[in-house]
Amino acid sequence: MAKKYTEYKQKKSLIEPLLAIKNLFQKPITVKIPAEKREVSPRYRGFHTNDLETCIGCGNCSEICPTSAITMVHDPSLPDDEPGRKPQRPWMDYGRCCFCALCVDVCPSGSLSMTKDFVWTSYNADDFYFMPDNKGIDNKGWQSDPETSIFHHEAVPVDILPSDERKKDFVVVTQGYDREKALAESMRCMECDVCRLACPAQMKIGDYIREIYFERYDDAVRIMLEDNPLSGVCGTICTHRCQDNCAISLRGDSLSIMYLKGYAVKQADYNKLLDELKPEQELGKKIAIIGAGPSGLSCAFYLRKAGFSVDIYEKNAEPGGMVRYGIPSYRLPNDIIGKDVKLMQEMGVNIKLGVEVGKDIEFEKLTSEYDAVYIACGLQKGMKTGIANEDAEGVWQAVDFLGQIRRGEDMKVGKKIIVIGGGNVAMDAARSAVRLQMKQHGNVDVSVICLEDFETMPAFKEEIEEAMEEGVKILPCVGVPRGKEGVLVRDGKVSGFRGYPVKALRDAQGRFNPQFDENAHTDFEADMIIEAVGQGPDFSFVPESIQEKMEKVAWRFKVDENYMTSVKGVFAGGDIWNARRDAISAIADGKKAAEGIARVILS
Amino acid sequence: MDQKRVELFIGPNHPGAAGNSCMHLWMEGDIIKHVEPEYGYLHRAFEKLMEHRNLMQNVSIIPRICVPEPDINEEVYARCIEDICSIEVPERAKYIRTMVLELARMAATFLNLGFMCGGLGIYTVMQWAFADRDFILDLFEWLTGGRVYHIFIIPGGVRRDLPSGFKARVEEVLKYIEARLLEYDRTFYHNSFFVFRTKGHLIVGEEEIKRYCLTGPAVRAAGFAIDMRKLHQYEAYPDIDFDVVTLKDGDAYSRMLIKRMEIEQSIDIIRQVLAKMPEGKVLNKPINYKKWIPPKGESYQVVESTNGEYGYYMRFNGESGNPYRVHVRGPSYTTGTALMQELMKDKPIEDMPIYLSSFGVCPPEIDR
Repeated sequence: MAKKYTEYKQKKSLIEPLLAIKNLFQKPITVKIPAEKREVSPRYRGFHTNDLETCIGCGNCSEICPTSAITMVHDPSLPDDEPGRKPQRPWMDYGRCCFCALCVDVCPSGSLSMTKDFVWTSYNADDFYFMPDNKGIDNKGWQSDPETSIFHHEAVPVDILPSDERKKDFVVVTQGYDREKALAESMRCMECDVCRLACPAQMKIGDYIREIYFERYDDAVRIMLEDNPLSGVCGTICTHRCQDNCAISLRGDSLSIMYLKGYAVKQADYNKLLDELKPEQELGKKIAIIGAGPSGLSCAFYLRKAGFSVDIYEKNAEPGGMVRYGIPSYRLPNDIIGKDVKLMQEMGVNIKLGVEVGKDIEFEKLTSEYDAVYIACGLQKGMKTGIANEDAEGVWQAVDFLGQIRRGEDMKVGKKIIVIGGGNVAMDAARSAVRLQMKQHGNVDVSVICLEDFETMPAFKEEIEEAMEEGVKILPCVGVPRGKEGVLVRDGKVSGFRGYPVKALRDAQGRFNPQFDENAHTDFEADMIIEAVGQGPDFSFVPESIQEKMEKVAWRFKVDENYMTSVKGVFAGGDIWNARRDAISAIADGKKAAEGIARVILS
Repeated sequence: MDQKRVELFIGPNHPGAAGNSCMHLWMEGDIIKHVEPEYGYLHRAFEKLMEHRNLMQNVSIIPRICVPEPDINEEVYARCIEDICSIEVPERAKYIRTMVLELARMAATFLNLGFMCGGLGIYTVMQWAFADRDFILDLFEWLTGGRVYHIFIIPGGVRRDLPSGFKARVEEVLKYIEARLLEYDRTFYHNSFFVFRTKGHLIVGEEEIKRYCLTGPAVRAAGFAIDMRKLHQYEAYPDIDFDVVTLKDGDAYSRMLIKRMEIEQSIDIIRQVLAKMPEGKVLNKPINYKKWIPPKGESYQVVESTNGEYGYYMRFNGESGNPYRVHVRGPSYTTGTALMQELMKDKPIEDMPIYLSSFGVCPPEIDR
């Protein structure tokens, strides 16, 4: 049946229109502004309001603005080096703004929104150019949430081996992204680079992720190598401060920068990059580097690129330092370190393996033969907890424990293992112990004891979760007061551990000063205890006569802005200097030291 | 030119001219001997601008091409990109888009009616039409945050879901408009002056339709059931039960009546859309605009605007995220130029505003 509206009765009348006169007696529908107020819709797109506390100055609003109405203006009152925030805020030119609210929909922090205000009069054109602030924040109109925004807030997860598969052996837990997932994840990056300040090496993250998205992996790695020669390592085990400061993480999942980097390195062909990396000219200067860890390798890379000839002295059989001997192979397989190191060797870096300075070669010999010596020996000695009976049989230092496994030496583990410490090394030790227990005993009994409570444990949350999936028990807020018996010993062997509940970890001033309930204690049965409470340096290879000349801060050598110690020609960096003590900080140190060495030697 | 002839200008600022355009007339007495439409007063180089903006930025530029009915631009732009990039649109978004398009059609028809009344001197109805259009703009304000430029339809769906209580609000306005239509009938469509001035005037027959590729109410008024909503089956229209309205005469009177009947049609469509609207998400988020480089390809998409077929041709070269070329083709392109020159020849000057309004000549479409 045809719809009613398809028929229309055409009519012609002179009288009918006059009936409109009856409208004279009706109430008008006009709103009498300003006496009457118009009801403004809750989504109204009026003037902007910007919560300056939560704004991170990422500049996405400015970049999407189709009319270029938004300018990011530097604010000198903001700190320059705050990770995850840029010292700039958006200014609006309301002569240009078209009120499309794309800036609101693209704002990752959600600080920018629009108000219901639409009246603003002034005789001066300059008054229409100003910085939106908290004014009107109670009168919000158009706002965005992660669901309705136009950025992608949901991360693409990586495939992780199920826990009963992975705990059987030291198989790699995750292979990272495949092509499809890497594309989907790299697409999310908004290239605002607020993460860059958080990275100790200040890698150009936005730039290389863009190259990854367009599948130009060689270009991506070329950008990475500008700041980080161990990109493969950092694509697998980095502490990824960048991810913690990702703009999208404010209202969604942060970008998996680490895995993207790892994927790009896997795909890139280093042979193609080699020609560009080889030095254009030889400077004829010789540099010795002690330690082939991340800092030493990084320093060697940049020195070699600049044309120095570099010799690295490494006491272990393989290069990599803590990255190889401190991190279990299920997290970082050797071939990834190998790819990065091979590139350096092909560039002409000479790595002398199995040569221990102080034993096989004297330190003075290095200082006399080379133009400069860079000490990047790292922290190789496990720190002791200082509790009683620490030297009993069955008590291990995590560094030695992990190192021995990594070297492929035979390692017998106990049936009941206690790991002391709440950091990432403790997790590495516990999870390595799980794998050895599965092999040797067929079942898992590993407990991690730490002073911190579960929320404030310094280890990564995903590390803790994965450890717990594998059967590791976490016992937070447990410790041993000074002077109390901690390790229980029977016949000279470890038989257990006596733990006291922690009442408070810090004192009123916020200093680390744990308080225990000394009346209550619990005994845990154990036949092996692994201490993972930190590491210390071993400077015994530096002769006393030289060490005396070196100025120290606590136990660290004091270095100047060129990373040179008080002794001319001797430089130091890496874990023994910077307080962060992770691979990427050591790499950053290595690069800065290389620049310092070049400055000092060539000046 | 002949000494007897007088040159007159309608526009660029004249109540009888739609938008800033100028009709340069050569008159003999009150008879138009020659028309030279002069456009360019509104030219803002939209097509070129779009080649220098990325896909997301363009969303806020395109509605400005057609002021009375901005949503058709967003719709065809979004559909072109969805076609080239093979983006799925959620079902709910399709229904919301259909509703927005029909609301926009009503709003544009009221504006057009107002212009017609302005040209005829029936100022009461002109005021009514503009005021009643505001009720629809209020709805848009609640839905999209903007009254005139909605910037709501984006590639992948629509920017927001319906706000709470929106359906009831729409129904309220639809009921009001239905009641008002009776008043419009009495005061305007049955008005002897309107019928006298338009019936049998400016007749467009099959020959002109074919020669000038006319579409929309002009064609339906001449008895051809041509409607892009039926022909191209875009958005939710395939699921909606509606008939194409036609009349036989093809004169200005029929064209105005077609638009009048289509208000009722729109009301019926919106009611069906609201009743059938499925639940679910309204936006499949498009690729991050900074990395969005569509594949090499081209697309032409059309929409049935108030005045006829309205289309965008877009082309991407696969290297840049900005369109390589955009071409906007609106129905006014012929009705505002060549057809006007032919049809207005030897017509009295008072037919000029009737011509402009009954065809809904929209200068920004020509000046895009």
